[in-house]
Amino acid sequence: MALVEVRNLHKRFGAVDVLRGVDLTVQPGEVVVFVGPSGCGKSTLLRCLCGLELPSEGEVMVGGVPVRDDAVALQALHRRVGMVFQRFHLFPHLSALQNVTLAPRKVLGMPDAEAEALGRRMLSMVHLGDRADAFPAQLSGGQQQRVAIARALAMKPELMLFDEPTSALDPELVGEVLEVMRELAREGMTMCVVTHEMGFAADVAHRVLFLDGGRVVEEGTPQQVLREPKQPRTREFLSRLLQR
Amino acid sequence: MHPRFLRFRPSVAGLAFLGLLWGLVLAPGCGRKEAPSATGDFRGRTLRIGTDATYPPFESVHDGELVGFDVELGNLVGEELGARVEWTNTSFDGVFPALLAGKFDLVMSAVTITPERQERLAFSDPYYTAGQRVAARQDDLSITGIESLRGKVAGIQINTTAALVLQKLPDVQVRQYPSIDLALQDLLNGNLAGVVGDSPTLRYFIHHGFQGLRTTGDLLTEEHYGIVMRPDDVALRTAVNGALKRLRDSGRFAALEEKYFGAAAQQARPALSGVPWGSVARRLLRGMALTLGLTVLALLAGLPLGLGVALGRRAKPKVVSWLCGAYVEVLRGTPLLVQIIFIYYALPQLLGVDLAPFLAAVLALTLNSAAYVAEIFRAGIASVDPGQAEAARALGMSSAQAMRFVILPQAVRNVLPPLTNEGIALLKDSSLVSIIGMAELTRSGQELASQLAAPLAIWPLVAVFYLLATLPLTRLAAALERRLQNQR
Repeated sequence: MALVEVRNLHKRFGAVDVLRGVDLTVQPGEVVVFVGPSGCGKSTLLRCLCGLELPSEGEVMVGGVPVRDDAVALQALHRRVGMVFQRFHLFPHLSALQNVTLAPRKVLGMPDAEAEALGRRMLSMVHLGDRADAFPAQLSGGQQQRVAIARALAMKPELMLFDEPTSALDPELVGEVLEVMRELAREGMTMCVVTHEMGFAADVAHRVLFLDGGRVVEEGTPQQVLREPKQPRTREFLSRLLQR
Repeated sequence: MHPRFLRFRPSVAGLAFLGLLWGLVLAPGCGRKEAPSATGDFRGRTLRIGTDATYPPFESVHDGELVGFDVELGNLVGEELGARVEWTNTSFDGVFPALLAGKFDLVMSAVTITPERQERLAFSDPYYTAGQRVAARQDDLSITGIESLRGKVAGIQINTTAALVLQKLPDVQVRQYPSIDLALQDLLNGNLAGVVGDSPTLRYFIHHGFQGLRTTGDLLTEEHYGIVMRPDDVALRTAVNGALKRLRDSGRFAALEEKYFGAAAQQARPALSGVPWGSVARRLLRGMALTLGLTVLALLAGLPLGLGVALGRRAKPKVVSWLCGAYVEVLRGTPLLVQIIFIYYALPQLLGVDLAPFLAAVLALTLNSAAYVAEIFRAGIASVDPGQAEAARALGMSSAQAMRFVILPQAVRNVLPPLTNEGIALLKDSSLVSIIGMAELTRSGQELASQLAAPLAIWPLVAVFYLLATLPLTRLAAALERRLQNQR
């Protein structure tokens, strides 16, 4: 059974149609990368998958459960789906370890000792085992984003969403975050990633979706979409990306 | 008219509210306390008397004790009636509302009998005759009475009958002062040619702190002081008048008059030699302790209440957010003074609960500061990056958990400086509770300044004590801020 099923998804903010009929299926263990020009709706699609936005029309199913406006159901959905934000959104008043352990302790009711062990494991996984007691302000952007990934992983999600995870980073810090994401993919995590890192998409993604104007314009393997795009809009976007 | 008759300093809204209040407490059928006796027999009863002890020689506080002509006379009246006497020292602004609300049975506070007052209050037979008079500097012999003030500048206490006296002399330039001791100080400093004020009180101040001044000319008005009661206490009025008559007949009244106003008393009583700093400091320390106690209690209760209101304004149910919004608007948009008066005088009438002044003061300060604290917290919560709430939600936290563990800890850091400001403002605003008789720091200063006739010595000292009271608050806040900053 597909982990994610999106059918005819529309999302409107006031008079603005951001998504206009998106269909998407994600199988367990799949890595799907969304690319497209700014404002094409790729971030909104991601936010619909984790329930931070609700569909205006159409349906989003995660693990067979529809996303709907119900606080308890949404909370249950949030627990199953991890989200990594462009601007990290670490909790500045908590140490790296506390950032990672807060949700397991408060949401899952995990005992402190168990949560701490879990937190340290998660931080080691993102190669930050030695910075457990550092506060976000004492960490570089790349380190902060890796803590944010560890924080999401600590909830043992079935699906990980990444919303431009390296866009706010200095270029020399991008690699360490992508490396962690590569490792996750190798371990079989189901991932949906919005990114402009075409190298990462080509290496890691099973499937690439090109979105424009709130619709999926082209979809296929990285080879198909990135090397041999059929649609003129995809070609135009990729050539502009290469000229940068 | 007694100089202090119109000495209301609250805003127009406050005055309007007082009017409403008087109407309320005078309305028939209100749950007012019973008079001590309807039979005229007061033996073994307790007579509660209210006074504003900042008015020597009639009433003032000396070494923590109420003293003065009114105080001794009130005790004698009680003795005649076989009743115990219980004095309450409160601000003059609040003395009549308290009488009408049944907080005391009598007011003895050098109150002049006027037709306006007789419409609402009952008076005993007059017990003292006073009047307005001119004070001038010893060395300025050109001032010999009211006529010699023409073309010159004269000082008066604001809104007093002295203004009516001077209205007849349009070529006298009038300057108004909040209290008579400040007018006398300006006279002494040479900025005024004379001061028009209540004769016995002028004499007292000149005798005790302003030896460079003298009174001159004739009495300009004739004013009679009476003991004030509620109009429906007919038996009490009869009894008090009877007691006054017996005191006159037995000569004890004359002896009391001689003690306070006789020529021998005026000559023999030594002027106070300087300011007794030790006892002044003790009084101010006690006032400061009360000020600090009120402020700290009001903050301890106001912080959680304000936080609750701030969270309530964000609550989903419209009723809750509307009520919390209305709470803030009402408590922030009306004067604290009016709120204090309402809670102490009107609430007992409306709900039938009688609050001790201390509780009423803490309650009023708490409710008022909670409104400001709520707004501070609201701004603090709004200042936290919305991405924080989103990240918390994305981790599966409920909105309550996100608020408790993610938003509030950051908001509290942001609001510490404005909360410190609010604490300090509250500490100083707490002086308004003197209207319900709390002898906090400002009230203690008022009493000392009039008792010692030394405003210039007392008020700077009061300021120093306020500074001493605020320093621990600001130090505490700074330490807390540092501790929280270190975690970043």
